Amino acid sequence: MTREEQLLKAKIPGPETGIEIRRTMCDICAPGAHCGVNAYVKDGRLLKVEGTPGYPGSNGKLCTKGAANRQYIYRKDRILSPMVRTGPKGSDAFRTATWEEALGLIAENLKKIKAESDPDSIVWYTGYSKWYRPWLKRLCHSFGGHNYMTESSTCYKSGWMANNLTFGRDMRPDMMGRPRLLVGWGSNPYINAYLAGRGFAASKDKGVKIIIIDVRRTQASEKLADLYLRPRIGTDGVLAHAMAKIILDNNWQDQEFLDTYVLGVEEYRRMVAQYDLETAQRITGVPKEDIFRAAQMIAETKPCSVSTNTGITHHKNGLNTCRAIMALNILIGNVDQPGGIAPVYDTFLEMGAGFDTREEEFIFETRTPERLPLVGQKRFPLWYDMNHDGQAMDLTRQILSEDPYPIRALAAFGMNTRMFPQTSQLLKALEKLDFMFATDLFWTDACRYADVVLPACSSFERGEVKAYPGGFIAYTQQAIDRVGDCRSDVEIIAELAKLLDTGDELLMQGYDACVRYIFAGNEEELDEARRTGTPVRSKHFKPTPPGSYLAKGIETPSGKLELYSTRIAAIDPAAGLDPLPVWFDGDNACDKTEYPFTLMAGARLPHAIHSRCHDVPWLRSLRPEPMVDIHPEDAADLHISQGDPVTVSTTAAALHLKANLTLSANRGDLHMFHGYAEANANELVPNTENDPYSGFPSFKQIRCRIQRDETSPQTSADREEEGGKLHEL
Amino acid sequence: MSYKITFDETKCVACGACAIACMDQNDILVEEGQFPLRRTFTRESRLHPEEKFGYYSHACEHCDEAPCIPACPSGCLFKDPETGFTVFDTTNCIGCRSCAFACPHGAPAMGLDGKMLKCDGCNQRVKAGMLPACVAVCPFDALALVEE
Repeated sequence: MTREEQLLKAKIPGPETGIEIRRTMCDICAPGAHCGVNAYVKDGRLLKVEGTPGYPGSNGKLCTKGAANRQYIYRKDRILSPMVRTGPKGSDAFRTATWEEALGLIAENLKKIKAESDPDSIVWYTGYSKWYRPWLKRLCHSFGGHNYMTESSTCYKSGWMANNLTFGRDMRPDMMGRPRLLVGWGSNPYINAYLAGRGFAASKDKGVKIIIIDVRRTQASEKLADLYLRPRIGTDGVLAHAMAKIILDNNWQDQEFLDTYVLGVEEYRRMVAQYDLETAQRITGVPKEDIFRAAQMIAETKPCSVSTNTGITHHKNGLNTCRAIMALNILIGNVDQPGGIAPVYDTFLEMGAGFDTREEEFIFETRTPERLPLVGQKRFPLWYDMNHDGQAMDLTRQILSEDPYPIRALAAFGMNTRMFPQTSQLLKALEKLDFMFATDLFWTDACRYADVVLPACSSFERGEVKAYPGGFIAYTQQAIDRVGDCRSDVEIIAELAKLLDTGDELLMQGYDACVRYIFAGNEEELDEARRTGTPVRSKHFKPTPPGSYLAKGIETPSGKLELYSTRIAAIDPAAGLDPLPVWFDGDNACDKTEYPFTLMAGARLPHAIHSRCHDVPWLRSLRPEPMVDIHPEDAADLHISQGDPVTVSTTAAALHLKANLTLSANRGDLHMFHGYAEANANELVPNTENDPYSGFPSFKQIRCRIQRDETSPQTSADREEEGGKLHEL
Repeated sequence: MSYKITFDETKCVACGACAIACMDQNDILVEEGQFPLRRTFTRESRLHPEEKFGYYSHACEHCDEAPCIPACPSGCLFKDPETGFTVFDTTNCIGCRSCAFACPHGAPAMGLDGKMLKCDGCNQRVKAGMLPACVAVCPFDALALVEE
């Protein structure tokens, strides 16, 4: 090999190889991270990715998924041109079309349906990525509609609601204020948000104590926890209440804080009184000594921050459980205090960066008064009250039942149908629509049901503005040639704004004009960030000092931190919602002897997020087959060995996949990752098991059974070595 | 000068980011049965009451006295004097796997062309003043490039 060949093979950037490093960002997961990427590019093609050193948050690092951006972007099923359906819905019978024809068809159909019915008979749905959400929501409004809904109907928003009900704002651990005890409840930050994992690990190195509470043994329980509590699935609320009772019984609460800032202390005290240690141990399975120890640590270590994650909200009692957990922060007076939990002030795309933008105005200024109830409004009144969006978990029901009115069309941006419980019912509903169009990077199930499909592009193939904590504004530029004839989602939205006769001049002007409207007053920063490819700090950046939120006025209806929610009390009593974070059993009703196990769908894997990484060969190679995690002793009882084909059944469906024996699963629990085409875990989740407060599905608590497939060759459970086994991740 | 890629077990969670970065750097064709040159493992010890989880990342150790070097009958393996990494030129590789048998760590594997393939420490990158791909990506700093 010549020297030049060697350098080229090693992808060394420079004039000798013609390889250039260009700045961009990774959009594979949620905006909480969006790590900075150095793209190694030659002749417009991506050769390799690396983190951008010095980038806000990620500082040169990437996660497992982000490291696979090249294969993600060049996935074999990237859509290369607009497509128009020529055969039955659900099939692959499509022909290619020009952008003009495809967009024309969409405009024609949507305008016709709007004229014949109502703008709200058209649903605007978006999944990932989240970068264009303000634009899509504004388009929905400018077209006269309100039925906008997102994948946040199952993610993040329930916890956001719980915090808003209790604190008047979303809350996060104040890591800058140096907590001395971190409680990660239902949290494996190493895997679900690796930057938070870095934060936890760095805190531990500095001597911060950590309590992990999780039904699964995870990297966090093994590596981080000074104390690890493992409740039975769905009983976290009882555990939180029992800890509250211990704190109150021992007079460890911050009484002055409670007297000054908190509403509903006595009602709350009466409610938690029923959860004595014996009762809590019986329900949760956690030894009472551990419950006591955790409560004592939380009460005695100052400052302490108790936080939780979305997983905890995927239960029928999810929102209340989240409120119950976060209430512990109130008891010990660690709200808006250094090292406790701090309020989040969103800057842009649900990220707080320490300065204000006109995002809300941008989204809402073209909204007209509502005439019809939105999707889910009647079934999930609290969701509607707090979000004023559709709750997508009621979409299937409304399409099929036409109650209270027919949904005729669907605009599906990045729609992952496997995110919906009992996905096959949604697909049946999609068949019924008069018109549907989809935009996506990849050829998904949603595309197969659409009449028109538009190819979108990845973050590397367009520019994007992001605000990061610390006041930073990033504005990337297109780093690589586009794959096929794809366009950015916002280019598509701007074009539709024209063709749909919205008269929305700003939206029609495109991304940059809208960004300048939203980030008004930061024009120099935008220009500099775009020119240099390096995030720039806004001159309007102003950190919010701890204590300022309480001083300024708590943003709940009562102006107090609400253990008793006046907002819930104001909801129609027919909905049966309790203003206190009461615990109730979230098990789905069925014969418990027939379904002795509890399924948790969606337990995270480091190399997957929802459905979009399963078809990236590098990522898939880390765990090539869909697997169900089962405790080795449960497996032995059922004569199941590692890798055996098994069937997991619920009242909704049955699924065939492989068994993975691991101590990560508790006795009686099964864990599966979701989003696989050939083993869609959410098909097993009945479409009726929703949290009445949030509408979130009970992905993480469904009764099930497991058996080894009879057709498989007889394998011996004794083959398992007692001393443990080496298996690849 | 001699470099080593060190591994800190206390920091690793076997997330696999290093393996993916290796695949990206080395154009690993997993679809065709190739494996990355660095891999991660989770080991569960199930002996009661000493149940525990271990998380590991593993690749060529670039041993000082690398046994693969004298084992190769074709002289394909050698030390790069500039970096100390155990590197290779497989022009004359006959695919006999003597290197793999000699290696106590199981590092050398066979590439799709029937010739030996293993981690070269991202030798060219290190010479160019950059980190090995796996070290650069590691989200939890379990891997490091150290100069000895």
